Formats: sequence, structure tokens, C-alpha cells
Amino acid sequence: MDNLKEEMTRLQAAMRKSEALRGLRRWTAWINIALAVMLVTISIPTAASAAVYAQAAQPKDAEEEEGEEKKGTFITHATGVIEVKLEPNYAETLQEYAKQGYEWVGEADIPIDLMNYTRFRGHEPEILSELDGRTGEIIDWQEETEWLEWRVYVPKTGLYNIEMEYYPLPGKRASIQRRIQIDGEYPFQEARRLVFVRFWNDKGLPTTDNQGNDRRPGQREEPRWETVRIIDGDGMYPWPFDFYLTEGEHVIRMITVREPMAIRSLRLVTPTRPPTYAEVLASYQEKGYKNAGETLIRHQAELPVERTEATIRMEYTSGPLVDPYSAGYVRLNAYGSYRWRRALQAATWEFEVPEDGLYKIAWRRWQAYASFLPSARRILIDGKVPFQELNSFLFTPDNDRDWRIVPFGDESGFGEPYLFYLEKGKHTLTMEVTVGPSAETIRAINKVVTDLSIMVREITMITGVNPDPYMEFDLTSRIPTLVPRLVRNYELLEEQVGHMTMVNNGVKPNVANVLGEVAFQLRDMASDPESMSRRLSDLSASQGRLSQWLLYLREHPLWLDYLLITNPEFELPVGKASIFQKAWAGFMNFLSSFVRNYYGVGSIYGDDDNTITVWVARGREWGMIMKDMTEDDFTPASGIAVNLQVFPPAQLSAGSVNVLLLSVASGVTPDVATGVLPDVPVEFAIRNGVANMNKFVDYQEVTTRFRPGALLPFRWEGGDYAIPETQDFLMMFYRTDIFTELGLTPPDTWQDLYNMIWLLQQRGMDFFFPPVGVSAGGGIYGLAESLVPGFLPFLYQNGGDFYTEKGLSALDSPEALAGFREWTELYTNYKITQQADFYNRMRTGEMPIGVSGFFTYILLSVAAPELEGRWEMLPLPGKRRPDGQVDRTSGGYGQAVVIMDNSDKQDKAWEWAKWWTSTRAQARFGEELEALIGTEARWNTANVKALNQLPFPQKDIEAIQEQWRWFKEQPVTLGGYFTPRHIINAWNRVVLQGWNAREALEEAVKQIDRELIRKREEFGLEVDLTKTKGGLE
Amino acid sequence: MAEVKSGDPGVEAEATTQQRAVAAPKTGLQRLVAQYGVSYAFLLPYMIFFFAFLIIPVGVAIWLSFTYFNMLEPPRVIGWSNYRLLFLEDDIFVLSIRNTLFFAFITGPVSLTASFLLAWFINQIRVRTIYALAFYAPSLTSAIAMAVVWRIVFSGDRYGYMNYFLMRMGFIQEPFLWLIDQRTMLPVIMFVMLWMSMGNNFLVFLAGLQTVNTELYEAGKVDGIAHPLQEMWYITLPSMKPQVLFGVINAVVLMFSAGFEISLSLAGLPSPLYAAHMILSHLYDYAFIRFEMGYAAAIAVILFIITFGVGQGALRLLSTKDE
Repeated sequence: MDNLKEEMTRLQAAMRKSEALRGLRRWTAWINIALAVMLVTISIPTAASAAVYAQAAQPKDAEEEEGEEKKGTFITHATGVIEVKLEPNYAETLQEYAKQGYEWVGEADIPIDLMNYTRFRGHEPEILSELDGRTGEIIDWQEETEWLEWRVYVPKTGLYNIEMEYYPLPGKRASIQRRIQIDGEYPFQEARRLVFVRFWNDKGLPTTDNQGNDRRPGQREEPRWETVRIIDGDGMYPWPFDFYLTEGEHVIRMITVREPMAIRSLRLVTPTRPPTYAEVLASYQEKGYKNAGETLIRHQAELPVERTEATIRMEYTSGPLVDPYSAGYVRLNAYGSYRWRRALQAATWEFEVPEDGLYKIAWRRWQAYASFLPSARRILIDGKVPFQELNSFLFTPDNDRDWRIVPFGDESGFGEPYLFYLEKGKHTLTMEVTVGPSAETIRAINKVVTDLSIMVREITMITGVNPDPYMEFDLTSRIPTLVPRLVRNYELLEEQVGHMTMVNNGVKPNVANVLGEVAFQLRDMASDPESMSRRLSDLSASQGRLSQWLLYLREHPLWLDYLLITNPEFELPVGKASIFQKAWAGFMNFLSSFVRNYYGVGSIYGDDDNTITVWVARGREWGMIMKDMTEDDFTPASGIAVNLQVFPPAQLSAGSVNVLLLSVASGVTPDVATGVLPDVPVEFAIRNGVANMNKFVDYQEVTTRFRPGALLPFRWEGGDYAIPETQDFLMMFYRTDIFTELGLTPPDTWQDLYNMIWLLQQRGMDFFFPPVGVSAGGGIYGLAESLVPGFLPFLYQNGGDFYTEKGLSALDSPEALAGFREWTELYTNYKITQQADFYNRMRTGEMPIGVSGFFTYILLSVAAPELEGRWEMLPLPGKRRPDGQVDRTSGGYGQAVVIMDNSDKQDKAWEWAKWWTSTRAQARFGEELEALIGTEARWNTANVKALNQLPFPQKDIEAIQEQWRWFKEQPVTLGGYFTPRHIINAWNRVVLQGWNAREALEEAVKQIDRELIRKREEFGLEVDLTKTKGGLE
Repeated sequence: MAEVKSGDPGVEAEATTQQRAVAAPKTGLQRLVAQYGVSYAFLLPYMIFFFAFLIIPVGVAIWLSFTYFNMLEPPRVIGWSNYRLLFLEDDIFVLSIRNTLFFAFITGPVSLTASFLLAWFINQIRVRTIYALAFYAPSLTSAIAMAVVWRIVFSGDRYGYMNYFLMRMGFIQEPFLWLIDQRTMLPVIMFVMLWMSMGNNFLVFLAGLQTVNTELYEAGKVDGIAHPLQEMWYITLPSMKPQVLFGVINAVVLMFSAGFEISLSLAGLPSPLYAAHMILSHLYDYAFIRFEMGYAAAIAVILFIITFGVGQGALRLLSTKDE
């Protein structure tokens, strides 16, 4: 053993001395110096052109048409990075008010004369005299009215609240949004997003399906008049907005963002605050209120009378003490859950007390989410916050991660519970999500994240994205503000660590640790700023982590079981289940799992002539909505019962061992399968697995619901073997802020894009295009790799096609070669990045523009709060055709509905498929899905009309519709799997091995044709080797 | 597959008993049952499973290899056609054999040697369990799950660990597409395979090392063994023959099957330019992309023969003198 060790050390020493190694080091150093010189020479013109663009951008903006939106001002940093600065946020505005000594105006209630709006744009609003029980002059404000403007005379200078009486008119079921401008300007950023809620209720009590499980009742909008003071739509501020108005006439303009509403009054009023609990308690004594006599009222949380969103709803949990107990079945026995987490989501419960007196109020609740942050709620009794402490009441997380009963009061558990004076009779209790004290941390993080992203960009402008590690960039003198800004940022973060700990009853929440780590990292960078060039990616990573916490901090989930209203002396139980109770409940659930049917959704019917079986390759939630809709809508109208079974997504695809294949092989098939991947229908049809749909009389009529190009992959030898269900598509995404900063406009054609790529690359940025052959199983782009999404637009836009009419490859046409060249030149000539995580690079700003699928759209909408309003989705760039139109043809990958060939109920199956893809069903499904699961479940229906009715922002729908005009998918043919395979190979040869594009494509066509011919011979189809379009010239 | 159902394993098992009965001295079936019935009863559960899950499927596969079968329609017998195509016209199959053998003959021995050496090293250390667990952990996880990790390491993105590390060190200037480039695909897969397969054999060897009779070492010292390496070569290794044998069989089977799983999850199916195409990849390609089950069955039969042959070869090589 010792010998061996000696041997080792000797060898290592020899290695270290090795001359060759030293030579290598010296050699790399020389290369580095040479590169550095090149880099510096390149960066000088870059900085210069940035400055030129900055100047070009500014005057253009000032000339904006009156009435259009002002984009904010530009701030140019020393290094030429320009930041688009919006108006100050409300927190800054409040500081400014305090500094200026602005005060609340005394008693005031100034009504604005609604009828005499001075100006408007778009459709002129209608005036109603009566609406839902209230009369007067009511403005019916539809989405077509772009904005309305009023003049109001303010008699006294001071701070005002704005109070509004509104009624949610029927729309797309999303919350109503408006913006407000005073004298032509947004007073603060938050004025750009005012949210007015709608009111929802369950259609009734839950029903039970034939498996003994509860079925969630449907949702119904129950609109009513509501008077609100304008407050932040994100719950970031506890009190209504204070607007500073001087004496004299002012112009108030409200701008439509989405959804119609009616308004009856709009007034400027004095800001007010509820009293503190101490004051309330004193007044109880003063008035001589007595404790109520022996009372115990128990109200189930799952039965609220009103909610502001359909997403927050009755939920199911199997805890042993949860009332009512689930006993192994699905019982909707609790309320809230993770869905009930976003600002302005509120629920109201109604209860009745037997006598006047003081009561205490308690919830049995569960709050132990992983982030371990307190959940804030605004508590209102009879529509009013009774005292200040309840304006943002914190439900602190439970250390035992269990249910417990806690009265409203001091959450640390040491203080007395709050007493509420309630008169005999009915009362309501409302709980609304607010952000509470986390708001301060969110603002701080926001500031740091924005600052870091500017810093990263400033540094990359000097160093490039991939800085030479041996180079000294002298960052401190080039960016003199670097160190002070780092210091400011870590100080800000460190302050928040303390704040969050304090808020959370002295327990350090996870977020505090993350903030601490990032602060430590920034501190470290500040002490050695030169190291930052090497640590850029760390900086981006920290930025990402902070942004993630921005999301968590806004989330305030809570579970509720039941409400208890008792007399103050009442001894409340703990409400926790003992370990034996839990073990017993768990054991019983385990036992019941042997007898229950888990793959069927909802009621399960026996197999008879009138029952069809539908397979759904989607999540259970999806299946449940489909089942509910079927039972509500389809079965009553058609008399056909449906058994619905769910499978993991992508289980119904070709190219892998999948259940559909096995079911056909074994002869036990469903009647309909949905969520089927697009290569399945034809592959199965060739082998008589799925039924031809165009034999149904109304097939042609049904197809008008979709883009004709979407039907291509399902067509083969005169048959149509599926109808599309969803449809993915390539879109272009870009960062509006970076584009404004660089003075660029988003490209309309590929040529525009090519002209832009070098500009981006000079600044260390890049363009993203979907790569080839990334990963097995679809990859993160939601596009099957086997379809080569990137090649299709170039092929079609150059006039090429995949196959000839004779079923051979058409890729040997000159058009196809041109398309292939253009595609590969993106990588060979323009050197765009071959692989990247687009979503993350878009967030850091490294890739301010790119092409990607629907999945990216959802990611950006849902998971990138810091980018809100800073990105846009546009149709794909295209080729300008002689007639002036831009040809944007591209494909996209969707899922389909097929009817199995050996089903003996094909007619009934077709009825269901027809119903399911109808505009009404698709629009409703999309709405319900988004309402129940959230934006992350946005439904990309293939039904063109249904898409218009879905609650997407109008701008996005327009972009999608424009792209869909050009929708054309790749056909699937016998042996067609060789096409993408060999296109990828050809790409590989050209881009990675430097082959000539023509040779690579010819090789591919040879292989593809061989397989196509082989397969056609296998199935005894005619093989015609003469090609109509001719070979490559 | 209806064919599988028709072959009732119970019937087959009984048939075997009857044959034995005929071969036994003519004392009557009843006496035989009375005499050996219990033994056969004990044998029965194994025989049922052996037939149901081994003999019958292999038999069906051999039969299918002579048919045209597209999974959705009933098979049609076409004779030797599949084999003829496979050997005479399919260059990709030849490529896949080349890849598989290359893969197996490098990773197999390297993995065996490395895990033996590792076990030997760790056996000398006191806190063995922790190391044992650490080295065994990769084998516990499935290839697909681990591929997620390796895909990030070898991602073609600038921020893939490998690219990032190499660029930072100044070895490469541009991100390299490890899993798309023809040159690196197979080596990367071999590397991952080594990492994954190490644990299995390592555990067997570690156990084996502890069974070695310590008296032998003392005797060896008396006989003049001076160096630990000599000790390993002359005493440890020969005493561990059963474990080594097990390891080799294990490795052979693993190299021919698990390589494909890694290839599938890292390079996709089919891999670009077929650079990481294994025999099993070829099988999958035909079975589930082209729906040519008969042809796939023929590939399976060939793979079976190769694996069996290599396994037998290894067995013979190692168990020459004693057995």
C-alpha cells in the first residue's frame, strides 16, 4: 500500500514539472491576448451604434399621436444601456406624498358626472336607466369602448380615494380590468392595472356519481352591484390608492383592458381607516356590550355563498378529522387549497347568531405549504373590515403540518382571541387574499432583480456573453456605479431577511435564506468586482432564483375545514388528529383502494349498446371536466352514455410501446381515443386500426371548424382518419423593452431577421430557433422532434413540399433545396445558437427574440412575473410574396381524436367526437379548464371559432389567428417517419460536419425514397418512380 | 397476443412429468406420484413461471421472426425472408451490431475491472458501508431517470455543465453538441454506462472479498508474497471466481440491453446518423416506429443468439480447469 502511494506522489510531481504542459499554458495565454485585442476592437463600434440607436429611438416616441399610450421615459446609463423607466410605483409615490407633506383631504364626497363624459374613443357607450334593481344613469361599458374621459372640479387640494359602483356585465368570465389616468398621465405604475372582480357561486350542492364519489357542482356567475374603492389589483398595498389632486379642474380617463362592466357612480372621497382593535375593545366596554351566552355555531367552509373566482372551490381531503369524513371516497369536504392563493380571490360565508353579544370566531384550517410563509387574508364582517388588524390578517404556518383550530387573534398563540360584536341575525364573513407584509419584500426583490438584469447587460456589453476567463476587463472604471449598486442591492436584501423573519413570528422562512445567500454573493462580488466577468452566469442564476421567489411570495394558499362561532369563554378544541386516528384512516384508505375503480372518471356504466368508451391521454383534472361536460350536455341531448378513462399524456402516441397499440393488438379497444399524437391516425389507418371519418355524412361540415392545414396529417389515400383537438404552432416571441432600447422593430420577414441577427450578436445576444433532435419524447418545446418543426416553414415558404403526388419524397426539388439551405444557413452563416433553454434566456435577456411553441407562451405568461408587459407574441416571420403579402406558412403539432375501427358503435362515437370538437364544447372546456386550474392549463383548441371565445388576451388571439391563416402541417404517409429522420441527419451533416447542403439533401432523399418505396411495396401500393417535379438541376 | 394465451403452461408442465414417468422404471404412475409427488409439487410453481415468462415468449418470438406481423393485423408466415433482408440488405443492422459490440467489449471489461479494483480498494478502508452505498446508488436508479441528469451535463446548451466547464477552462470556444454530434454520442453513452454499471458488480465483489479465507493470506505471506498486488493476483482473485463469473454474465446481459436504454434517453431514437444505434434500438425502430414485428422478432432472435454465445464464451473462458 505504501509503495503504491509513493509511486503516485512521484508520478504527480513529474506531471507538474512536465515541460509540455507548461508550453500548453503559455500557448493558451497568447491566444487569449489575441482574442482580447479582437474583442476590444469589436466592442468600440458596438457601443457607438448603441448610442446612435438610442438617439434614433427617442424623438420617434415623443411624436406619438395624442391619445395613445405614453411609453415612459428612457434613462441612459454610462455604458449605453438604456432602461425603459415607467412612472414611479405606488410605494415611491407614497414616499413622495410624505416628503411633500400631502395630506388626506377633509370630509369630501365629490361625485363625477358620469353621463357627461367629455371624450371617448371607439364605440360610444350605451346608457341604461335600470340594471339589476338599481336605477339611475348607468353606463354600459363594453370592450369596444377604448376609453372614457370625465372632467371634475376639485374644490380642495389633497389626497383622495376613488370610489366606484360597478356591475360585472356578461363577458368571457375573466375578471374586469381597467386603467386610470389623471390629467393624461398614469399617477403611478399600479394605475395601469385595476381589477374588478366578478361574483360566482356553485349551482347547488355536490351530487354523487354511481361510484359513490362526490361530483363538483357547476359554476354560475351571480353578478351584483358592488361599491369599491380603487385598490391595487395585485394586493400589494393594504389600503385603497391615494390620488393627489390639486384645487381646480382635472381630467380623469379610464381605459379598457378587458371585459365589459356597467358603472353607476364614480366619486372622489376622503380616505378612511378602520379603528384599531384596542379602540374597538374600548368602545365595547363603553357601550356595555356583554359576552354572548353559550353558543356553538359550526359552518362548513365548503359552502360559501359567494366567491370572486370560479377557480376557488370546494375541495377534497382525506384527513381523519375533516368534517364530513371522506371514508375512502371523494368527498368535497373542505375549501381553498393551493388554488386560493392569488390576490383578490375572496369567498364569503353566511351564518346566523342567536343573540346580540360578543363572540369569538375560529377556523379549522391547514396552512403548512413548503415555502413556509404566512398566508395573508383581509377579513370582512358584513362587508367591512372591523378593525385594522384584520385588514391583512396573517395565518402563520403550522409547525406540525397539520390541521388545527385557531381563533382570530394573536397568531403567536399567547394573546387573547379577538372579540366580535354581532347583533342577532344573519351575518357574512368574507376572506380575501392580499399580499400583506410580503409586499415590501416583493418590491425590494423586484428592484434588485431589475437592477441585476441591467447590470448583467452592462457587463456583457463589455465582456461578451462568454467572457475570456484570463482577461481583465477593468469593470470598475468602465462602470463606475457598479460597486455602489452592488452594495445598495445587498443591503436591501439583508434588510428583507430581517423583515420576513419578523413577520413570520421570528421563524426564518425559506425565502429569507435565499435572500441571504444572494446578498452574500453580491457582497462577495462587491469586494472583488473584477471577478464579475467570470461570474456572470452566477448573477443570472441568482436573478432567476429571486424571480422564482417573487412568485412564491405572491402566493397565499390556505385550506379551511369549518368555521366556529362561539361565546368568548368557550374552550376550543385543538382540532388535530392523533397519530392513531391518522394511522387508522390511512389503513382504511389503503383497504378501500383494492375495491375502487381508479382509471374510470366519474360514473361508470355497464357495457351496453348505448354506452361508448372514451380514452383520454390527459391528466385526471382534464378528464373530470370532460366527463362533467359530457354528462351535462352530451348525454341528455343524445341519449348516449359515456365511460371515460384517463391515461398518462403521450401514452397514445406512435413510436413507443403504448396502450393504444396494445389495445388494438389484443382486440380490447375503446370506441374513441382523444389526446392522440398526430402520427398515430395514419400509421394505424394503414393497418386498419382506426376508422375513416369521411364516411360519415356530415364530416365535411365538421372539418370547417378547423384550419384546412390541420387536417393534412390525418389524410391518407383518400381517407380522413382523425379530427384535430388541439393545435400547437410556432410563434415569435420578443422582449419589447430590449427592442425599444436597441431601437429595433420586430422582424416581419426572414430578411428583416437576418439583418438583425448581427446587431444582436454584437451585443452578446442571440436569436432562438427550435433546434433539431433535442430529446426523446417531445422535449420541452411541446413539439415532437420527429416532425422537425424548424424546417417546415422554410420548406413551405420557399414553395417546396414533403411528398410528390405519387407518394415519393419531393425534397429533391429546387424549392426544397432552397428551403433547406436557408434553414441550415441560420446555423452555418448566421451562427445562431444550436441549443438553448429559450424561456430562461428570454428572461435574462440573452435571447430577446426567438421562435417557439405554445408551451413557451404559457411559461412566459405564468412563470415570469418579472417580465409582465415586457414581452409580446407575434406571428412568425415570413417571405414577402409578389402580391405583397407575407407568407408565414408554418406547421404545428396537435393532438387528435380518433375512432377505433373495430368499435361496433362508430356512429355513436362519431356523435361524441362531433360534440367534443364543436365550438361550444371547446370554448366551454377551455374556459372551465383555465378557471379551474389556472392560466397554466390554457387550452390550445384547434377549433378556430372556439379560440376567439377563450379568455386569452385579445392581442394574443389576434396574433394566433394571423399565424393560423398560414397553418399547414406536414403530411403523414406510409414510411413517412424516414423524412424527419433523414432531414435531421442532413442537418447534422451540413451544420456539424460541413457537408454541402445539396449533397446532404440528396443523400437524405435517396434514403427516404428507398423506405417509401419499400413500404409501398409492403402494402401492395402502386410505385411510380418518375417524379413530376424533376431532380435537382 | 392470442398465441401466448393458447399455450397453457400447466399443460406443458404436466407433459414434462409424463415424459419423466415414461423414462422412470415401470412401477406405475401412481407409485411415482406417491414417491416424488411432493418434489414435483415444489417444482411446479417455478416451472409454471419458467414456461410462461421464458420458454413460451422465446418460442413465440422465434415463430414470429418467420412471419410478417404489423401488430394490428394477424401475422402471416413468410419463411426466411426476414433473416435474408436482415443479413443481406440492412446496412443499418450491421452498423448497430458494430456499435453494440464496440460498446459491449469496451464498457464490459472496463466496468468489470474498475468495479473489482474499486471493491478491492474500499475493502481496505474502515467505513465501508458509506462508500458502498455511494457507489451502488447509481445502479439503483433507472436509466431513464439518470438520463435526465446526464442530459443536463452533456447538454448542447452553452450552460450545459460539460460545455460550461470546458469553455470556462478555455478548452473549447463554442458549445459542443455532445448528444447530437456523431463523434461524441457513443463515447458519452459509454461513459454513462460505466458510471451506472459499476455499482452492481461492485457490490458483488465487495461481498466476495469478505468471503475470502484470511488464512490464505497468512499462508501466502509465509510463501513469500510481499506486495499487496501480488496478494490480489494470486490469492484474492482466484478465491473470488464465483463472483467474477456472476459479474461477467451480469455484465454481458447488461451491456447488450441497458446500453440501449441510455442511448434512447440520451440520443433519442433513432440517434442522429445512427451513431448510437444499438441492436435493441434497431429492434425498437422496426417494432414500434415501422410496425414490422416479424422483422423485429428476427432481430430479437439474433440478439438472443449473440448474448447467449458471448455469455457461454465468457463462461467457458473462466471456468476451464476446475469445473
